[in-house]
Amino acid sequence: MKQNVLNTIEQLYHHGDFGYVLLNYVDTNVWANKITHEIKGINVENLTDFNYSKCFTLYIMPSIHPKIKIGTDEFRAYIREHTYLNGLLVYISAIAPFAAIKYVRYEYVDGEIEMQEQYQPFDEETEQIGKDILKLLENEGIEVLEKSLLEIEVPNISLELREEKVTVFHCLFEDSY
Amino acid sequence: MDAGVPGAPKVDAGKQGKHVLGHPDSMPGKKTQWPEGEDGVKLTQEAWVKGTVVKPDGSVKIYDFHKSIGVNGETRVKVHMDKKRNIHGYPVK
Repeated sequence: MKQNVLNTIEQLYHHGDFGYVLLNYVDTNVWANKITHEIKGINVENLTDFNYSKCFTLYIMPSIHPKIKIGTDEFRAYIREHTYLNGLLVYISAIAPFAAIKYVRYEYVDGEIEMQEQYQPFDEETEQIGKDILKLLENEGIEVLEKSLLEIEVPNISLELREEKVTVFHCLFEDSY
Repeated sequence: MDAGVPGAPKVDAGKQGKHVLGHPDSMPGKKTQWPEGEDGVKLTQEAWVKGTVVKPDGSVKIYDFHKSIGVNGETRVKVHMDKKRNIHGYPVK
């Protein structure tokens, strides 16, 4: 037990392991509810998952599209039928006052659903949504970080999934291979 | 680990174990757990085969089973693929 407690303290204070707090004591709906309430004409899907991430993750698309959840057969069928679907992924850090916005396009290509991601909007609708979210986040004192900053490698950091070449994005938002 | 789902990569036992109650690598309280007695291997492999990518490099997928598969009513499984191309997954809402 003693070693377990000391290991836990080591993880908390030397490795910044926030997993327990995030998973058990943070309301994952905080930002989904706020953005849904503040910005009209959008559908917000809450993809927040604190297992390996340190952020709220929201998939947002214009409400001209039906409210269908990622990962459902209906979502795949909708993209197959309409060829593509533009939206945004908004990452709001739960451990620091920073956010990131990526624009995504799901596209039906050669029988498969593919995903593209970039820091510029794919169309005017998602560009306007991006501006509205940026304004909301700035009003809340949260700074949206640009690509050049997000991709900076942070020295001497190793995460649970990403062990090498860890970037600002991995540290503040999503850990991934 | 392999439940024999056609077209699915193998599941990394240690990484999956973080999400399995009673497993030596289990991390209850820090990681979402599969229901007691479940290791989630078959559902993880099925989710990978049928899922939608949520990361452009294709290393993370989500699939909705339209039925409760988690202890808190989760219906979706999120799956990560590591550099060795093994996968691990757990329930998400």
